[in-house]
Amino acid sequence: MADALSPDPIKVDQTLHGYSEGHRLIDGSLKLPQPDARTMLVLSDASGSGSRLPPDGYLTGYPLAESGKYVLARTWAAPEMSRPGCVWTHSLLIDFADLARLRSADDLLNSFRRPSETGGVGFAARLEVETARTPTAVPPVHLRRAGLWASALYGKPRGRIVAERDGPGDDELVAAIWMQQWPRLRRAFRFCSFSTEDRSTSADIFDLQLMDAGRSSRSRIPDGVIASMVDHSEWINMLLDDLELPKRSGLRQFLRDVGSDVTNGRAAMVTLVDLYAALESNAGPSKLTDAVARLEGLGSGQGRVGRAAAARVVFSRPGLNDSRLFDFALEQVRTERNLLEIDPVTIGRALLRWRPELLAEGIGDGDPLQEAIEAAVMEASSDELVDLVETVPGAATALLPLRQDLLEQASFWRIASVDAQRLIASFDPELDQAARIVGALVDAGRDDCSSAVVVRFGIAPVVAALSKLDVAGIRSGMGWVRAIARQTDDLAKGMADGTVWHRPLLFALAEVLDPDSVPNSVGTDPWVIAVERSRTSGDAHGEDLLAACLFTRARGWRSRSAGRLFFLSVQRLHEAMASARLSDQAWRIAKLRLPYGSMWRDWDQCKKLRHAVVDSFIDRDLPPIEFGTVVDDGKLWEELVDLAADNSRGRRYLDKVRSALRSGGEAWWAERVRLIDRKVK
Amino acid sequence: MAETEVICANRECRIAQGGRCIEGHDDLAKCPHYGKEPEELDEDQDDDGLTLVDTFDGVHLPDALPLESGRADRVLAMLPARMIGVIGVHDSGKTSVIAGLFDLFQLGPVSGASFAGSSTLHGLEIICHDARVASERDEPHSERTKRGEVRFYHIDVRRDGALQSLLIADRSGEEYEEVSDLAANATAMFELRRADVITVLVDGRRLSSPSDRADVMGAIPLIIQGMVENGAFERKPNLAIILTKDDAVQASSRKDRVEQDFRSIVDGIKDAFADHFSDFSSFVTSASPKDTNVMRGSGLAEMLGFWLKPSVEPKGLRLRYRNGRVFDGLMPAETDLG
Repeated sequence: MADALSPDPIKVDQTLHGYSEGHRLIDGSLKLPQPDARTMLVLSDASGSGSRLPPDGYLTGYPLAESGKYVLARTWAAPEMSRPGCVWTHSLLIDFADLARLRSADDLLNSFRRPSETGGVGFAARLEVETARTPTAVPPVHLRRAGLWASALYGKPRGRIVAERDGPGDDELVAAIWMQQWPRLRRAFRFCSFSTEDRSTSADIFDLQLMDAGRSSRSRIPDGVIASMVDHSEWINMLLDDLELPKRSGLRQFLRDVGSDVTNGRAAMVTLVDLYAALESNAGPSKLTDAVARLEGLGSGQGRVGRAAAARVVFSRPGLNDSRLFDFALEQVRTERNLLEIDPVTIGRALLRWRPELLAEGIGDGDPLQEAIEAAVMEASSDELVDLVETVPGAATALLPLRQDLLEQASFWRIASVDAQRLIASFDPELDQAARIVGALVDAGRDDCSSAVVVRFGIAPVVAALSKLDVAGIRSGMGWVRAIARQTDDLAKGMADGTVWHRPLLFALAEVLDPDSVPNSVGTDPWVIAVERSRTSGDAHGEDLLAACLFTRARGWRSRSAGRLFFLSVQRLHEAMASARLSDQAWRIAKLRLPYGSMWRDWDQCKKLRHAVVDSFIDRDLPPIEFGTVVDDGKLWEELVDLAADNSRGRRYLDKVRSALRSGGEAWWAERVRLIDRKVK
Repeated sequence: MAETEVICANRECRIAQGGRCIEGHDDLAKCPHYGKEPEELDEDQDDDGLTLVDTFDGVHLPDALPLESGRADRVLAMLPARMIGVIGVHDSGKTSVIAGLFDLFQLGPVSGASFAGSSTLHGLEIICHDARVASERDEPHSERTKRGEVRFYHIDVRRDGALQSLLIADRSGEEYEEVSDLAANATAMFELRRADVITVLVDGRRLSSPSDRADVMGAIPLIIQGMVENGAFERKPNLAIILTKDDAVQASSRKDRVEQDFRSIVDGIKDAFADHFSDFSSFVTSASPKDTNVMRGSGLAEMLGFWLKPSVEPKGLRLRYRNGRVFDGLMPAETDLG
């Protein structure tokens, strides 16, 4: 990498013009096209008549468009010649590309040579000039004059600016102002540091001419703008700061970067300086708004790099809240296919913030914003996207293909505008995330979707979702429970294969299901499997309800495991009845299959229960061992035995029970054998 | 490996030839033009309405310096006017002729014409200055005319009770010399197309010099030839051929030869270019003599008389513009304007 302090050599052509039977090209290192040669002949001649030229000469700067070179020339009086008004002019012809790289004109200024009286020799070869890489600072004492000139140059961009020449230091000052310009402006800038009359032609206007102090500049250039008052605008101060401390200022580099495609010449300077100020991090949004408005005022094809720089700031500056700015930035991005080299996420996030309706409206495949939106959507949190859908319902269509995880958010399903039914109907039945989606739906309380979900996915994802909830959670989503309860075959299968096992879910199913509804055509009763797979909970209400359901099912004819159902329900139900804690809901279920009849008092429900159990075992000849173990409570079991022993059928059944119990080796079984022995001789 | 063509939308940029970006971008990716096909750029130069307080609160008055073409047009429109084109090589005395005439007017009427005003008084004074005592020069001088666009000196005269304007074109001699190299160089010399009188100067001092004589004799016809080829004299102006610096001729030992040479030049021009001019005349002048052997301003009065002499037959000039369209064929039959 080049050292900032080391010189940068450039090769420049040179010419010498002087008097030799007329003002002519004396020598030069190149042959120019005719129009350019003629331009040099005219501009290398004295800048006016009847005036004494400065002893050190003066500078003239102008472009040669056809040759692609810029001429920086110094002209001296040649009093040694026979005729008054003769001059020597040494011109350096700098290639436009080299001119763009120049940081300082000092080394060029030091390269000028006035020919001796013997004539000009040594001007036929190209010069190699070591140019400094750092710009030349303007001493503070000269800043006022620089301000005058700059104020006129850029404040009146179409004017021919005229100022009074003060002395030889003006050459360096005008060169410093020239060097401050961006390359395109620099190579079009015409200046002369000493004139007695306007050097402009109808085609080529001189931007800045310093007039001989002894003459009225106004009368020499009647339509010239006199640089006589500094406009104390911020842009002038910034230009002067940059002239005084160019190494500290970023303005010059900024101008270089953004001025490449600005063809408005001097008219663009204020706009670009304002833009530079507005892009600083501490600048307020109104400043940026104004700067952008001025930038757009330059013309549609102008300052695309500057626009891009502004757009980058609009997209990336937090807290910016101006829709006009955003519209501007959006337009810039849309005109460039590479998103102005801004991180797509940054643009996309701004779009989601400012123009979420774009998602609803749809973005064409060729639109560069598509990439930005996709990047932002992928990066955004689901909460942000849900908020977005809430604001712009139509955005869901664009978002969901990119972020299906949104479907797993309960907040998404809580959005009233989301057409959940239609959305669910569009899902793939084999969707991997079905359980999570259903969980979100359940969580969102979208019971209205339960049937549609079960139709689309079956009960498995619903069961899975419900199995994650506690009692209260499930109770708040009873619609879902009812939806799976309607699928009794699937439910039977789920219970049988261990899918349905969550105790609170079983409580809820016990509440909504007809005890006989779950089929049990073969094998163990699904209810038995489901209940045995789960553990007893501390929820007395739920457990009592479940016990009531299982008891009632056991008393019916659907189950092929009635004995085990009694085992799973009787003791619990009996205790609940005995302690009068059975809820109305459980009682309504249990009483369905309790015996009727006047021989028992209605209030002694426990006795009814015992009778029902004993009658079921004896009448249906259920496995004796299941009777032997139907309850753990020894006292309750003795009451059951007593009831069974009241009649001969019962005693015969007890005999079978005794036999069954004898086959086991456990001590409490032997104790129950002895009890039967005492009751049945 | 196939080479990629280097393209740039900036028509000025020559990166394809030189490999360097005209906008100074080291990183070409930063250049908004690089890699794109050239396109029409918006070259709007709108004034952006910026305000700069102009402290001048007076009335802009025109200066009195030589006129540029726009102001010369206004003078032509104000009074009957004669446009004088003065052709001569460098240092042949063009400015001196103008300055000498102005000086003569300060002594009184010249050739029956009185000075009646000028909008270029300062300019006239400036070119006279180096020939006056006030310049503190040892001998009269005339500062050379700078290269550049033509300027006009303006003198109003009253003759026979009528006001008339003289607009005398002044251009550097080098530019006229270049017409002999390339006729196209005369294209921009509109003052010659509009001139009522073309005045060709023959430098008497150089004609007296054995080393320069041939150059002088050869250069004048070449310049006129170049201008004729360029259509500069289609209005058939009058032609005055003037031997300048007669003081040097009179002081020369080759005086007779010079006069003979001058006559030869005049005759040659008359013979060669008779069809291009309405009237011919020749004069011998000494506008600003360095020697006292000749009167200052001698010959200029006669020259002025010729300048003011009406053209033989004013003519309208029909210019037929043809742009190649069929429509051109529908032009009405030409009328002889005579």
